[in-house]
Parts: sequence; C-alpha cells; structure tokens
Amino acid sequence: MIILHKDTQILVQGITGREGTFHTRLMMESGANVVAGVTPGREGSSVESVPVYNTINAALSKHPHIKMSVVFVPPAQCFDAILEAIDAGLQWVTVITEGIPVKDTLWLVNYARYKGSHIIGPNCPGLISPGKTKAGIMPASAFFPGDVGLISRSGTLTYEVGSGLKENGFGVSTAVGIGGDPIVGTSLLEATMMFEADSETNTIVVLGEIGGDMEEELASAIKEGAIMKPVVAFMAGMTAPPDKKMGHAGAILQFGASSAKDKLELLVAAGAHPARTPWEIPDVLKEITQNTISLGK
Amino acid sequence: MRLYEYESKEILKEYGLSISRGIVISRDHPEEIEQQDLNPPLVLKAQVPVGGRGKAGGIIKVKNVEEAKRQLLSLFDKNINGYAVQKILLEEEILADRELYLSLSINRQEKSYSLVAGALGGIDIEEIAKSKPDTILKLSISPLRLINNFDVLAISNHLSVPMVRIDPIVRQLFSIAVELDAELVELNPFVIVGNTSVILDAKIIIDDSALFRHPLLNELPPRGKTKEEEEAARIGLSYVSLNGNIGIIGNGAGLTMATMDLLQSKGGHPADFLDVGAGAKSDIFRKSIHLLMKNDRVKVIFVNIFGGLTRGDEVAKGIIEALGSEPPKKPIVVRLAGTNAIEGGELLRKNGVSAYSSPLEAAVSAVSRVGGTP
Repeated sequence: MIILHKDTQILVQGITGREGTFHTRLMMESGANVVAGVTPGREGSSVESVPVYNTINAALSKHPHIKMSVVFVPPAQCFDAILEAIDAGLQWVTVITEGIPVKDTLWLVNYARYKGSHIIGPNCPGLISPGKTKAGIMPASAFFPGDVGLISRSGTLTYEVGSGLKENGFGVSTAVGIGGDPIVGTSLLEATMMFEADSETNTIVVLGEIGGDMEEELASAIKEGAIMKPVVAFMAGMTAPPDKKMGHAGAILQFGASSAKDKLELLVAAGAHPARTPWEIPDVLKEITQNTISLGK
Repeated sequence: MRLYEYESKEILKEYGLSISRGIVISRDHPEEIEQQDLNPPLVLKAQVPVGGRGKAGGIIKVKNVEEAKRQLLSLFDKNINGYAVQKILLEEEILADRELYLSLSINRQEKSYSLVAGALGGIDIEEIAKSKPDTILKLSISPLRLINNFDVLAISNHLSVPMVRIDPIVRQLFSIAVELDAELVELNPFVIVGNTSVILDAKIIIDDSALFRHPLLNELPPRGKTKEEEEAARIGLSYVSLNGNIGIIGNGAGLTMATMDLLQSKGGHPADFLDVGAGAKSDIFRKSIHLLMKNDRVKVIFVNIFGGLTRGDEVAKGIIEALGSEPPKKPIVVRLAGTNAIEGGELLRKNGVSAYSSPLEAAVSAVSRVGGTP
C-alpha cells in the first residue's frame, strides 16, 4: 500500500458539512483512523464520535500524530483550508473538492512543494487501501485487497475498474485518484513511482485521459527503465472532439496536444500493456500474470 | 470561458494598454456602422470563440466605409468554423514593419506560468514553434514569485523592443492573469508604432472555475456552439454536443468519455457528452433527462452512473421526477453501481424503469433500441 498505513491518523476539513459527515462515516467503516475534524466555529461538537476543532493547530495540540487532511470544503474556501493544512505541517493534503480556481491550485501546489507537503487532487476521489484504510470518497464495495496498484485521473472510472478487477478475482494494494483538474498536486508518474517502490504492489494499472501531458511523462519514465513493474494503460476520450472540455476542467484535447490514441501508443511503445476499454483490464492482467508464471518469475 | 476579441480588448484597455480604434456592430443592428468615425483603411473581424477565423474568411480588409458596409452583411451570413457571427469588430487597419507575439498562460506540466514571446507574430504560434523555434522565447515563472525585471529584460532583448515599451505590457499580462483568473492572455500580434505599442488582436480565456469571484464576467452570455450547449451551461451541466443519436448521461469525465468510447465500440453513436459531475442531486438528473428528452436527435437515453459522492437513490429520484406520470417519450436505459446503487435500482424498477448493473449489457441494450447492430 502507498501513502497511508493502516493506522495513519487522518483529519477531515469540512467535517460538519453534508458530504464531510457522510464520508467521514464511510471512511471509518473502511478502517480509516479519523481522529479529528475541523470546521471553524464548531469546536466542541463531534461527528461520528470524532471531535471537531476550529483550527488544524487546535486539533494537532490534542492529536499531534495526524499525517493527512482530507478536504471537503467548498471551492471558494479551499485556498484558505489547504493553506492552513500545509502551514500546520501536515504531510499529505487530499483535496476532494471540485471547482477550485486553477490559479489557487497552481499557487498551493508550488507552496506545498516548498513546505514539504504533498497535495493529492484537487477534484479527486482520494485513495483506498481495501480492508485497511481510506481517505476520500471511493465506495469501498468496489475494491478488494490485492497486489494491483491503481492510478486514475477520474473518480468514477477508478470505481468502475476496481469493481471489474474484484469480479475477476483481482484486488488492489491501493487505488489512488489523482484528480481531473488541469493542475494536480500528485502526477501520474509520481503515483506510479510510489507503486514501483511498494513491496505489496506487483502490477500497476493507469487510467489516463485527454488533456495535459502526464501520460507522455510516464511513457518516458517507463522507456528509460525507471518503472520495472508491468503497467496496464487505458486512455479515456478516444472519441472526444477537439478543443472541448470533457467534464473535467483538465480533460481537453487542445491543438498540438496528444490525443488519447497518441498517449496510448506512446505508452505501448514504451512497454506498457494497452486496454481498449476499462472493462478489458482484467483480461490484460490475466495475460500478464500467466506470462509471468510461464517465465518462471 | 473564451472571451471574444472585443471583450478581451476592452479588458486590455482598462489595464491601460493601447488597442486599435474600432467599433462593435451586432447582427441585429447593422446600422450601428453609421456611428463609426474611423480612418480607412479598415478591417472587419468576425467575433467568434474559435481559432483559425482568418483562414475561414472571418477577416475582411476594406479600403473605405462604403466597402465595409457592403462586406458587413455578407460576413454576418458566414459560418466560421461552426459558429454563427453575432458581432463584428470594425477597426482601423494598422500597418507596421514587425508584428510580435506575447502570451501568458498556465503551464500544466511545469506547474508554473509560461510567458512566451515571439519575434514573428500574427500567425499561428504552434506552427511557428515548429518551423522557426529560434524566434520563440519561453520563460517558466513560478506563481510564488511572479514577474521580475530580469524576466522583462529577457523579453525586451529577445524581441529587440526597448524596456520602456515592453515593460507595461508584460506586467499588465500578469495583472490580468492574476486579478481576473485568466488561463491565457494572448496578444497576437502587437506592433510598435513610433513611441507606442498597439495590440491588434487578443485572446483571453477565463478559468470557468473562478467565474464565481468575477460577477461581471460571470454575467456574460454563454458561448456554446449549439442551443443545447447554451441551455446546459445555464443549468450548470458539463455538456458537449456530438453527432449521434444515443443521449449519454454519466458522472465523472473519465467514465462519461469511456461510455462514449464503449457505445462507439458496440456500433452506437453518442449524441452528447453530459457529465453531471461529483455528488449530483436528483434535480440535476431531472434537468438532464429533460434536456435530452427535448433534443430530437436523441432516440435513446443511456444513463451510466458509478457512485462515489453521487448516490444511486438520488439518480433514481431525478429520473422518476423527470418522467412524472407520463410514459417516457424515449427509452431510458440506466446502469447503476456504487454508493446506494441497490436502493436506486429498486426505486427505478418499482417505477417501471429498467436498471442494469453491467455497463456492457446496458450499452448493448441502448444500441439495440436505436436499431443498431451490436
């Protein structure tokens, strides 16, 4: 598993909001060690028996071992909330919120890097290590524990693939959604490198899409030999028209940029295994597993 | 949101930069041309939110006002890369020895601002970047520090334009990007005429996610290609018109795109991309179904939802509300999985709507109902 351990202490920002409360409960049902919540003005109350504080520093004074914040704060307040988490020294800030202005994210991602924090997202479903812990909104029922590292730019597609893997007898070590915005804190390559270093992960599944060049960056790293574990890749948006934002602020096939087909071809040329639809991925994994066995690995 | 050229220029003017003199004439009031007091030669420019308008005949140079009047109506009749011409900008033509390029944008890979200066402006920057890369200077600037003198000096040297001319332009590009949440501010071209620099064409794209803090920009009319796109924008849906006949409603960009790709692979043709986003409630599904019901091109509606923040019971409630007591005018195929999918499926079946858990079965069913062969 990557990023979190089973017992890693988690804080929820925006815990008293509808989604914050709903998903705090689901996170705890999935094993997450949520020790504190933050909503300004609500100190002294509790949500799902988790104590609520006005500020992150107040939470840290009672729970000094918090490693991650999960942010459910509305877009207009997110800059403030994420900045507070970075300045409080939290190692990880997972931002679920969709619709944060790109300028805010751009600044925060650079600032986090400078301060030694890591942002996951924004506009992401967070991560789950099935049976162990969860930070975010992924439906636990879609995942089963196993040795596949799953990385995605799209939330729903992650659940879709996780559930397909489960039906076919595969499980995931960790599934992480890196977010659909033009600027995200953790890139496809960074997430892949974490799985490469993870002893519980044997294969890596990457769900990319049109827009940006994170897939190209990943293809170069595979080509250079930085990733030795088998990588299965699917690219969404094969039939997307050019110059239109496809749902995600970041999913836009701009002039001069690579199409989904180009991205997949680059990854395949670098040595990744292609899946033409998300529902084909279990079959591709079966082939890889069989080949690995026949090679006596 | 991509601003029209005349809107972009109004902003540049507010920030103290010089633009060509001109007037905006709207389609419904061509007589507005009578108010002009411009000095010929002139140029008519179709205001469309799309690139390549010069090649598509959207820019017409004229010698005098009489010729401008003659060309005006024919330009309003043109379709420029799929967009009707609603407004035309009539401007004084400015001739200069050198046309230059300058833009500021957000660089996704480097997570920084990109300041790009080109010694050859007025043409497609992507093409120049390939054919004459030496004419282009690209600076990567961290958002933590913003613009400094040495950046401006590098641009000044590269373009051979004195600091005093280029400094205000570069700094105002940053002010616009930061104060108005612009993803792109592009001057292509601008020219140096005597002691002043004049911007001949400009493009500003405002970050859609930041419109909530810019009320004036937020009030500008949506600029979709089709009526459906404009209506969807008003409802707040992420919607793109496509040419097929199966209406798609999905949640999440990746799943909705994969649904398009899947339908296509089963012999179907998507009529749209409609992503309700994260955590949509029943009213969003009701409005989405209404939107597709009204669209004559759509013969079948295919709803493909895998819930995280979105809950299956909310999906079902919205669909049932949309149908009301009437039998559906078009078949609806629903595929539900994830959060509260079981509750949602039961609710749908109780109300006579068939719900699937397998996307493949649902896709095949949708394709077969428009008479396609899976």
